[in-house]
Amino acid sequence: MNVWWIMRRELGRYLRQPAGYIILALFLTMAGILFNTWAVGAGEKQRLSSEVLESFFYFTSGLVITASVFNAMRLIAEEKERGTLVLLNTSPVQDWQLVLGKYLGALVFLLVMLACTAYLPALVMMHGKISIGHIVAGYSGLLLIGSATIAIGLACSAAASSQLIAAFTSAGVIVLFLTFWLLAKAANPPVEDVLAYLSLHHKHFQPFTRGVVNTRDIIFYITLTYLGLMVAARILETRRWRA
Amino acid sequence: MHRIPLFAFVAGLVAIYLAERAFEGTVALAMLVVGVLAFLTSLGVSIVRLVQAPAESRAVHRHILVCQAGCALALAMYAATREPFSLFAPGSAPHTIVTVAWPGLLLLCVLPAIAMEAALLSMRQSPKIESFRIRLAFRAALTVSLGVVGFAGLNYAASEWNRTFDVSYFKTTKAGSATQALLENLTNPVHFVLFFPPSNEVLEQARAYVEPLTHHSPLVTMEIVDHALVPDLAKDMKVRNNGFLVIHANERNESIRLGLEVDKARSALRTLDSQVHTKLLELLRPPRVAYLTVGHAERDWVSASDDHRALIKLFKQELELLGFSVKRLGLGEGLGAKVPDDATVVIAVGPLEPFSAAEQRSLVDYASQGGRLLVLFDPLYGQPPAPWMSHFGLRFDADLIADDRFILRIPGTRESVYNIASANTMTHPSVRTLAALGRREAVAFGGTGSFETLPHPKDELQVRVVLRSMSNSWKDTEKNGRLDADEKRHTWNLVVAVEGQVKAASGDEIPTNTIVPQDATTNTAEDSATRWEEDAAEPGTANTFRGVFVGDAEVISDARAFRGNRIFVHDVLRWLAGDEEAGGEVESEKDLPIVHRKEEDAVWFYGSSFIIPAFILGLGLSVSRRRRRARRK
Repeated sequence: MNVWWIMRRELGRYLRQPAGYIILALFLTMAGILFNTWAVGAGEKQRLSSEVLESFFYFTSGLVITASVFNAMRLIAEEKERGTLVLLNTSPVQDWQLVLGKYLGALVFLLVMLACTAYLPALVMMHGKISIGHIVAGYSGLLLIGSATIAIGLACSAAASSQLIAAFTSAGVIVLFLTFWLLAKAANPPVEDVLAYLSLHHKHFQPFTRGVVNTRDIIFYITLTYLGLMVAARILETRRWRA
Repeated sequence: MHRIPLFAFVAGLVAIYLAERAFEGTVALAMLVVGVLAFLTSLGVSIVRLVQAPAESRAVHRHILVCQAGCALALAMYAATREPFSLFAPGSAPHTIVTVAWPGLLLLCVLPAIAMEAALLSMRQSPKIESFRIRLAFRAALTVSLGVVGFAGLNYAASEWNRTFDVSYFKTTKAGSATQALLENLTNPVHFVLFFPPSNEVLEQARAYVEPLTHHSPLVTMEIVDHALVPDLAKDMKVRNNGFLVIHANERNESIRLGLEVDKARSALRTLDSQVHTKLLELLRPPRVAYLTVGHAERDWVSASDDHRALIKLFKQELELLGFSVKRLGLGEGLGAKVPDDATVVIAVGPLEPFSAAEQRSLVDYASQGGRLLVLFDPLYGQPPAPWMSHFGLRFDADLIADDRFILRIPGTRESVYNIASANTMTHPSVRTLAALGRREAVAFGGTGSFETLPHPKDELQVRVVLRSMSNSWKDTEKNGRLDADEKRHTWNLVVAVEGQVKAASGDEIPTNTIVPQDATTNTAEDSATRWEEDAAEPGTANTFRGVFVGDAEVISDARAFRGNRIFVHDVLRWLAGDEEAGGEVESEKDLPIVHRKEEDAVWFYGSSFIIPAFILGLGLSVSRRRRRARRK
């Protein structure tokens, strides 16, 4: 029940304030501009419908990662800055409930943002040959990568003392995960295989853009999300044993 | 002083790692010695602390020492898998177990050790160690370590037991049913080799296609190699660079160039299944030749000024996709004497002029020797009579079949009751895939006649109707496009498959090609004026003939490039080539480009980029304003 209330409160922060809608409008504007200039390729040679959809999911993943980092940076660091974390410490809310509630609030807002972009692949579907399954697969991938990014951002937000530090830290960690595929090329087995597998986007997200769902990719994102949330809860727990 | 154990511990582990992975030779040895010494120093300091610690904090130091000892054990296990300290044979079960276990043990011990040392360090000014804080630090770090080990284990299992679901429209990562059927019926091994560097995006897509193929047969294997690392193999397979898929079977190789960049490899990846299918046919089947008859105003893949019928370019491509090389066969190529020996199938596509007696004799002789025939008529354009069909137990009726319910509206052409579609297939290997699809796919016709079966020796010739018209259709004998009083709705035989033993043609008599109307119920061998004389002198010429006779050549033309027609063509050609076990679809349907004009661009751009986000923003602001007003009230 605590998780539910915390999630509602977090969601309310986005949807009851003008700021949430401004973020949503900015997200949709960027998505629209990128869709027309990159995915469809306005003025250039015509691209096939499956390529357009693939590009749409590809660039939207970049927007999702960026939005998730900014959404997550304030989740716990803001509480510390405002001094309200003390209130949470003394409340009957457990650390894992706090973490889960905040994560779900950010995730639901991400879901709302993604749902608002649905008109773009619908435009492609009207004029091309793509399947509903491809669209669902792409959005599932976006939700999964967003979920993992939020979890990592939440862990960084729990560790940081301010939102700015939280943003930089989580951006640094995400960039590291994104560039593992480049590092893998310079490494030798078995480190090469491990780094390639840990690549957040290159290995695990790109099949979703083509309408291919691999169970290993789903498990990767879910376990990474769980790991991020667990680390965030443990970091909050360290308040108790830090002098 | 308090920092020494923690720093020595971390520095020692880092130095050992760098010595193993980043350096070589003397530098690596020096780093290793420094690392081991630092690690042993931290271990020694921990032992001293344990001995000197007061009773209430001894448990804490014992925990730290146990974790550090665990790290030492993990490093020892690592050393036991490496030369010169290796205790197990590489590849053996103990070697594998130790190789998997030591990183997990190291992780489970390192993080808790570091966490406890850090917690201890934070209490260096305190007169008394608060052991519960150390325990909490240990528990938190152990939980994270277990989480990381669990993450690694779960993901390893997930990658080993990965299942792929391709829900895209074109399913380029999934082999078509035709390719799958080909592999399921293998008698010889087939080996796929992907020449790619590691961590390449094109490789990921190609692997997603090739890997599931290995599940269809134990004879199918796959290998991924870097061209630079296997020069001998690359030379054997005649591959000069990475970016190739090579298929090896029957001591031959066929390669498909994919490239290394995704943007450039897109078109090759989209048609990967059809390319693999074609290469497999080339490797696994003997060379196939399809001869298309010419010289009788047949349809062709090259346009002729006096022929306004749709071309058969796509049909030629489908033949090549199925591994046939396509040649023309007319009098100039020897059709008057005999059909070439290398002919796998002879195809007559809508001949509007009759075959000469010599040509007819050649075709029938070819059929009697087990040849394969595909004959398509063109009744809409003035099909001449074909009395030689009686040799196959058939009579062709050029009256068009019409339908006012199951008709096809083709953009750019006038609506016609002769543009009919039918999904009324019978169970026969020549229409296997189409029959399996049931009513989901139909064959589109553009003016078809029908067939009547004639009395024939049933123990020699099996004549099977494989596709009938829908029950709403009628034979338009009045040629007025309307259902007249004397015309009845019925199902009509549109496609017939014949199999069995055909008698060879006699030597001297050349029959005329005039129409002799035959009543199917009364026709007998004695009454027929156009039957070939039976050649009793050559009992040994009877071999298993296969022929498919289609009432409309438009079915295979470019104007009827529908999925149902494509499947029908594939099924028929495979059956004629004796490949019906490899039936199914090859995935190579074409995508549509997103077409937009310059004036549309502005509407799209402003609409999707600004108007919709502005609408969302306006909606949100009004909602939040209304809430604020309600709260004030």
